[in-house]
Amino acid sequence: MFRSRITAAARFSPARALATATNSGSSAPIAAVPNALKADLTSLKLNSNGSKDLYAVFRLHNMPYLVTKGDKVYLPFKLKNAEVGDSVVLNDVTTIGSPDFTYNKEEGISEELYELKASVVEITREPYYEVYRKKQRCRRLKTFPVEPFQTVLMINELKLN
Amino acid sequence: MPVKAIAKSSIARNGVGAYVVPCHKISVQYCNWGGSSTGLRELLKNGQLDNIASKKKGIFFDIFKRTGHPKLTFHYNNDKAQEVEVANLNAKEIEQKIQEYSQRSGAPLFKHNHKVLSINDSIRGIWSPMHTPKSHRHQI
Repeated sequence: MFRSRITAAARFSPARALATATNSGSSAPIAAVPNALKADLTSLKLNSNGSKDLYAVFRLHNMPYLVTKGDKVYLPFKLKNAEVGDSVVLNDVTTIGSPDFTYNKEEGISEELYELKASVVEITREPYYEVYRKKQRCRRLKTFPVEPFQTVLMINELKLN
Repeated sequence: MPVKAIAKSSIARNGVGAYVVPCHKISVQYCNWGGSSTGLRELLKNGQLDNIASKKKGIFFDIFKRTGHPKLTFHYNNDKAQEVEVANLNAKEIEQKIQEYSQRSGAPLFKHNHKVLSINDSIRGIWSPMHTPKSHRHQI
């Protein structure tokens, strides 16, 4: 499921907030987790060199991407309702890790524990190529030109709260 | 000898922190007489191009009249310019071209066969059999 939010943080036109079906729903507020049940990430925090040595695995359309801050993520599609310069809040994170510790939760880590943001840096295409298709009882090959879209995200922020 | 720190210069990455749109200028060339410029002339006449330009505040639109087929030239930050022929296209198709090419970075198209492109050092380090203490190494 696509659980990321797109907000217009870096764009020129103000107040362009787009939502693409977040897990808890952008309209429904997240229920406050009692402190006793909250995961304790102090060891991860102390080991991460001030969020510098930190990696995270987030899911987009259920596809995992392992990223650190400053990485480029190549998505083999055109991200819906996104424009260049938009900021994307990635809120489906399954793993956060430092050199020595890992916090992993398959169903998704609570959004309050981390901050993972990306900006849409480029919406472009893959290089042109051709796909050939053969039909039965026909000698000729059909040629289809292919130039699929590509969206490039730049990981803007990755830190523990 | 005093201990010297290893110099590490920061790498400029567009999008980490500030983001600058790579396309900074679009030259729009049209002809007032030729039929192939009909779509572009319509785009200029009905104010659609004004709308696009007002939405894209970081891009300078340079519009000029010249005989011949109409074309758009996209100028990017990396000193590259991309020419796009828009002869015989209607207004909507031309708008789509502007939308598409203004979101590119000007770099040649390439397929990255991995999901993530990283220039950072690995967080966990690279595993090497030579960097474990001798007592812990694998013995054959």
